[in-house]
Amino acid sequence: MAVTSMSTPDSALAGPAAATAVGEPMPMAVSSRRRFLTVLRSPLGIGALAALMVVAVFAVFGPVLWGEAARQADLTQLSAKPSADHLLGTDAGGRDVLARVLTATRLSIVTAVLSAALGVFVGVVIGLLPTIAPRRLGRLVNSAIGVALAFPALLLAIVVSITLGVGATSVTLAIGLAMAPSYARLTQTLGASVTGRDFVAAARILGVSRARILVRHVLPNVRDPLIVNASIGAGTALVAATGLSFLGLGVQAPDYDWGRMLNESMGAIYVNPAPSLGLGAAIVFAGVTFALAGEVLARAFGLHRPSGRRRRRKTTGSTAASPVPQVAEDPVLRVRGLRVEAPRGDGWATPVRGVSFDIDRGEIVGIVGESGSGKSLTCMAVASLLEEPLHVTASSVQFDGTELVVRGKVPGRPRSKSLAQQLGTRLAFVFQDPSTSLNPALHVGTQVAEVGLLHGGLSRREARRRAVDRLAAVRLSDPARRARQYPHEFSGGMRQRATIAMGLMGEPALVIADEPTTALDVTVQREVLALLRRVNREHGTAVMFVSHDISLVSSFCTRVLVMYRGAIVESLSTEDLASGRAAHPYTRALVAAVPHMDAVPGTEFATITEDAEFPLDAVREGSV
Amino acid sequence: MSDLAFENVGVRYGHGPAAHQAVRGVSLHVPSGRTVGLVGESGSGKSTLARAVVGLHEAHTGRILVDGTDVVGARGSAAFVRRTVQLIFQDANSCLNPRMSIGASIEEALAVRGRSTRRDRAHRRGEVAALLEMVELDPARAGDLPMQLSGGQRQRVAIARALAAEPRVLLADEITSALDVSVQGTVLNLLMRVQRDLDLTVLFISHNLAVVRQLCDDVAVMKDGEVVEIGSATEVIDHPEHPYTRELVRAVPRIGTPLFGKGTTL
Repeated sequence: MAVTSMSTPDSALAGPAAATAVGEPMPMAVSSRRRFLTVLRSPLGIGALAALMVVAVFAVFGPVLWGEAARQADLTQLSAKPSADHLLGTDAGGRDVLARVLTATRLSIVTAVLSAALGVFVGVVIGLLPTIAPRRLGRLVNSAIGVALAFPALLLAIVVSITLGVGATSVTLAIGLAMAPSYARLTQTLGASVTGRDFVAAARILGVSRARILVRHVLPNVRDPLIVNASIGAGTALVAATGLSFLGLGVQAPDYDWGRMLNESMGAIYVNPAPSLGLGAAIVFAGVTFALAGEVLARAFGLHRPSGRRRRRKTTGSTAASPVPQVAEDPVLRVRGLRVEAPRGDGWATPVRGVSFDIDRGEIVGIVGESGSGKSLTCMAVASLLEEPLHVTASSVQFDGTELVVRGKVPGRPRSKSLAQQLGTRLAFVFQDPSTSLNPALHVGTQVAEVGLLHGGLSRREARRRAVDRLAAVRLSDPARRARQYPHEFSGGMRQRATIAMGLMGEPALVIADEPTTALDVTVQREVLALLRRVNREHGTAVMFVSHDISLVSSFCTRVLVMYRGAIVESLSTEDLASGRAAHPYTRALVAAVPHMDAVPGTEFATITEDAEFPLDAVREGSV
Repeated sequence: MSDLAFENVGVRYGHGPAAHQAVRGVSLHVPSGRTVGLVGESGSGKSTLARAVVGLHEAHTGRILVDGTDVVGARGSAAFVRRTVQLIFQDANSCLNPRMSIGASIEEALAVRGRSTRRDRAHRRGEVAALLEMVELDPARAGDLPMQLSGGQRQRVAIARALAAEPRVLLADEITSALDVSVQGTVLNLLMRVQRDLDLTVLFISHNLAVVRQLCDDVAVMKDGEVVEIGSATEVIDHPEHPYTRELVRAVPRIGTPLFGKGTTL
């Protein structure tokens, strides 16, 4: 693939689930087929497929092979215990229980599958109505689904089944209708999330008909979870149908399914448990099969990520390949050979390839790079925030004089309580999106105070007082009142101030700010940066400022590190950058691509061609 | 030739006392064949205004005229006029159906214009290929899914789809703000080129003043749902008059110019 850029901001790579997206995007068409095969070849896939085959074979051939044996009554052996002739014994009519269990597979499974299919069909039709119907009708349907959901499904099934009269058909109908509301709700929720997306809006603007939008745009995007749930639903339907038959509401003589047989055998369970146990085993086996099939489908569609079995990466020890930067006397942060690896497909991607840099005390250093360049991962790794399945190695990461690297690795959490306290009070981290980095359920003041409680050894009241004081320090008006408010009552800029206040609860030597203003408007951006600058001036706190915007970095920082595809390719002062003394071709291209306020109107914008390749070797290391 | 005019347009969300007035009495003229920039911060109502043109929100007061036809609540022939206006979205991730090949997405837009239904498959393919070429993408990639494209390429497909509907007016809503700066230029140059080649009328919504200054003929500044300043792009951005515009211009970071000079108070 010659695709070089990813549109996701790389700070979104924070989560382990997202980490697999590092680097080139994976072609979906290829990967989904491969994923399907991979899942089928896994032990779970093989197991589910085998179980499904067994169930299918018995459902198809059961009555053919054992139907005759199941009808033959041996009047000398009524309610017999297991023997060589009758492995599960005989029933009250002297008929072989095993043969009857196997024969009943067809009716039991067919009832389950048909009722699940009916439930899904009715549910999907009703659930899709709100997406295409006029708004009022849609709302009505929605409420109707809500009301139907309020009734317990099994109760609904019993009521319907009694109304329709007993028998296999009515059980199928009853369970199908009882299952419909939950599928309707699922479909409606999935449909609503799809119709809210831009491609549906685009189709509407183009004048595409509602029916076509439904078929081409909505259905294909809600299909996978529905199929998975249908498979799991078949298991539920099996249990429900068995239950109804067991209660005498389902299949009637002379027909029989597992539920009715269970009913018959229960009376003698203390005398002859074998028939009941055999039936139980059959029901459990079929139920588990449907659930397994659902899980396999979910994995095949990529809805679930396999858990357990963690992939471990052997330490290669080849982290020393990076060039050594200029050496500061007593840096607040010294990083040597930092490398981040992430599992991708069958192998490993290296979104950060052995970077080394120093940040001096009181310095404001910018890290600039485009999405996927590894700048966010670098600063999260430095703050010990990256965990499995990401693999973080370095020869040394010294923060404020303390070595964070243990046996060549940067652990995902501090190795000791004192280190946790040091990181908690001396290192502050400001995230990109202040609406997700604050807990929406807690007062802002409580969250700011927490740092003081955890690491500052303050009492609750002292922590609270200091929190209000810190909120005042970040120039929030009326801090005592603001401390009692929830994050949603704050504007974006105010939230970002609150996260900075959180960092100021200790005496931070370093603030790592990962795109702290990207989600904010330019005027608010200016205020937040002014605050960071003031913290820097007043407390001598160093700032590591990560951004994709080279003009912002150059107008705020004193030194700039340029990252490209996981490597620091240039480190230069802002003056050098501004006066066109950048040496690396990538840095030059990046500067040239920024639209200027004094460009000639109507002229073309500078571009970097999409397949451009720049050297990964660093230039001008060792000079400032 | 098509021009777009807003006359005292108001859009609100919700009903009753909780209603939020997102756009308040905006009057704005986008003359035929020109590119007008619309700048302002989040929540200023600039996107809402554009969405009201294509019917994603309905204006509750005022008129939106496309070539003199009011398209507010359009039905019948007015709906047909409304379709000559196409919107390109900000998020290239969500503006294409992930389950449809990019060729199929473009073909759908062709079908709605009635251009492809009557003719044979080969002809339709040819039209899709021509559109992909117009946005500088290899026609051989028509079968690719959006996942297989980069953000910039996806945004170019979105432009091709909009062009398939043979629009007279394009509304570009922050089309490059989710893209890297290295990719941004390609998309903007493309927009500039199709605007000139097809003589389109463009409303270009952006928060990037430098881009607006270079790309647009005129610019309107929105704040709290109202247009506060309007004029030629260079005039307004180089010599802003409204205090809010001045603040916006002052906050733009420039390479080599410290954001906080020696005299600034922190």
